[in-house]
Amino acid sequence: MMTWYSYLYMFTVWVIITGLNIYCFYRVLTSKNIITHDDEEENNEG
Amino acid sequence: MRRGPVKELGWGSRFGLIMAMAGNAVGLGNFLRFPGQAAPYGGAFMVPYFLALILIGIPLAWIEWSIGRRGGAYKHGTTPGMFYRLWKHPISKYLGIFGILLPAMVGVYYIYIESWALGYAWQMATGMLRGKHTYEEMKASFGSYVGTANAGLISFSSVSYSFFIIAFLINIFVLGRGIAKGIEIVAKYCMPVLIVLGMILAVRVLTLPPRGENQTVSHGLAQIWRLSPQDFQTLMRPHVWIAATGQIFFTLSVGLGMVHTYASYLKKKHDLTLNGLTACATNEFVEVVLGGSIVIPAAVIFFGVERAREIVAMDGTFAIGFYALPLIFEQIPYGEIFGVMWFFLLFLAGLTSSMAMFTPLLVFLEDELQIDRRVGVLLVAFFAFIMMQPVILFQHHKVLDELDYWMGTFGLVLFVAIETVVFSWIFGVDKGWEELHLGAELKIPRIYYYIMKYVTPVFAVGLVVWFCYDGLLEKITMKNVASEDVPYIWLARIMILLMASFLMWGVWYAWQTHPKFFEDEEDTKSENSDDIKTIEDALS
Repeated sequence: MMTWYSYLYMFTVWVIITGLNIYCFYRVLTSKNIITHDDEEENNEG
Repeated sequence: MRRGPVKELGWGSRFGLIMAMAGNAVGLGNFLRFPGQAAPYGGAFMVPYFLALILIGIPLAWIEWSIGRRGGAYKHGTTPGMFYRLWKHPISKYLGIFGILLPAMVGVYYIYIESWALGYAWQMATGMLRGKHTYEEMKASFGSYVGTANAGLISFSSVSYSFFIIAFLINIFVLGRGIAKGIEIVAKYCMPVLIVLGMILAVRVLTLPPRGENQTVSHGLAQIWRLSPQDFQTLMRPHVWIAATGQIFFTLSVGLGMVHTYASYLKKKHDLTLNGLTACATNEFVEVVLGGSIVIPAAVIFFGVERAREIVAMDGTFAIGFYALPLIFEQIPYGEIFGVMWFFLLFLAGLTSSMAMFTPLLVFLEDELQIDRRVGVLLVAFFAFIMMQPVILFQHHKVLDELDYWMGTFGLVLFVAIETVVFSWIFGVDKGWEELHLGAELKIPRIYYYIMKYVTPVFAVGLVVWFCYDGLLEKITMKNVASEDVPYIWLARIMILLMASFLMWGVWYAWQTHPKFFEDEEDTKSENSDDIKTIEDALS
């Protein structure tokens, strides 16, 4: 049976992991560093 | 692969890269292995688990991304060439063989296991599992499905073999399409679908009504999250630390050579730190939040705490996934839909991992042996198919288990130790740290410099020592193997040795026939040659 502090423990871990995901994906998706950007340029040049 | 148009060589998008890396990490183990490892120790397990993630797992992922990108700049897509660029010693390229051998040999049995999930999704959809009311009946049904129930000389079932063929062809098709058009597209669509399916199933399980005094969601979650002094006393035992670290290795798919190959398609201006952390974070969400909320809670609600523990102890959490959950889904409204979702989820988790497993071998054939891509795909498919037959037909003689121990367990730990020592101590953390930060969008805290220098390699080497102490000799001498299984265990070992011998010959041949490619960097003309110069300028 889960006690209140077990729930607190579980939700803390969930929040940290979910928060880390939101932070990382926010940084990735708002970044101007797009992997294929330069490759396409090189392709066109070639 | 590196000789065609640039766009076809690498990743099509950053999101696709992260999804492919995360998909490589997210596998059957996230849903089936993790709960089984955590449940015996309750919430105490999470302490070593997260310490291992922070001190070993994430640094290892960054190390592998760095090794991969650096190798790719020299046109090496696999670890023999990558290790040689880190350490110009005759033996380094042979140590790198593990990065091709391990994923290929794991793939030999992993695709077969993955096909079970596809077959069970079909069986749930068509109602073929109806009419089985007990755990024992469902277990017997699984034995019939895989052909072990009535095995004589061989274990064979036409149904499971048909689904194996389908799963195998899907994997080869994706492999044949290449990185951007195959692996990336599958990962980009399958990973979000997998996460949505996992969330739906987790919500369904966590909202199941109680079935008895000790059969509630709360009792189910307590198996993984309870905080009791008795559980925390288990932290004094090394086994829990080994189990947690092992789980981190398995779940992040580090020590298998696949991350290296995927990262080899990046250029020095491409970020490693943020991408690597994002892939790890995605995997942790799927494992801890979703994987921890489905199998064990569902089993406790339907069987009770004691019976669920008994099943895990007797048959493992794999049994809950394949024997118990279909039974449970039979008893809830719209259960067949949830059943199909569950097995399709497992199949997608397996597919996103398995499609990476033969990539290093294929890339090795192309990059180092200069074999045409289409011929390479056919060769990989042919030899993989041949190697898979003993796994399927002699499954009842533990061929699969033997491969899993040497390739998926001990080999993985050994390769992690080798790569961390090569990267951190031989190549040097100073150069490695700079390499990691080229193009980085996330500045890693300086403490990780010391973690990579001391903690990660020492822990990795320590783990190898522990494995050697903890039953390696018994494993080598087949101490607990039944006499009728001994020839088949040897067969599994011969398969490993044959593959290792081929790779050793391949490395020797490549270095003999194209010595300039490996020695004279100025002659290495590629779209990345400018990158090499920039990297070396930065490092000097």
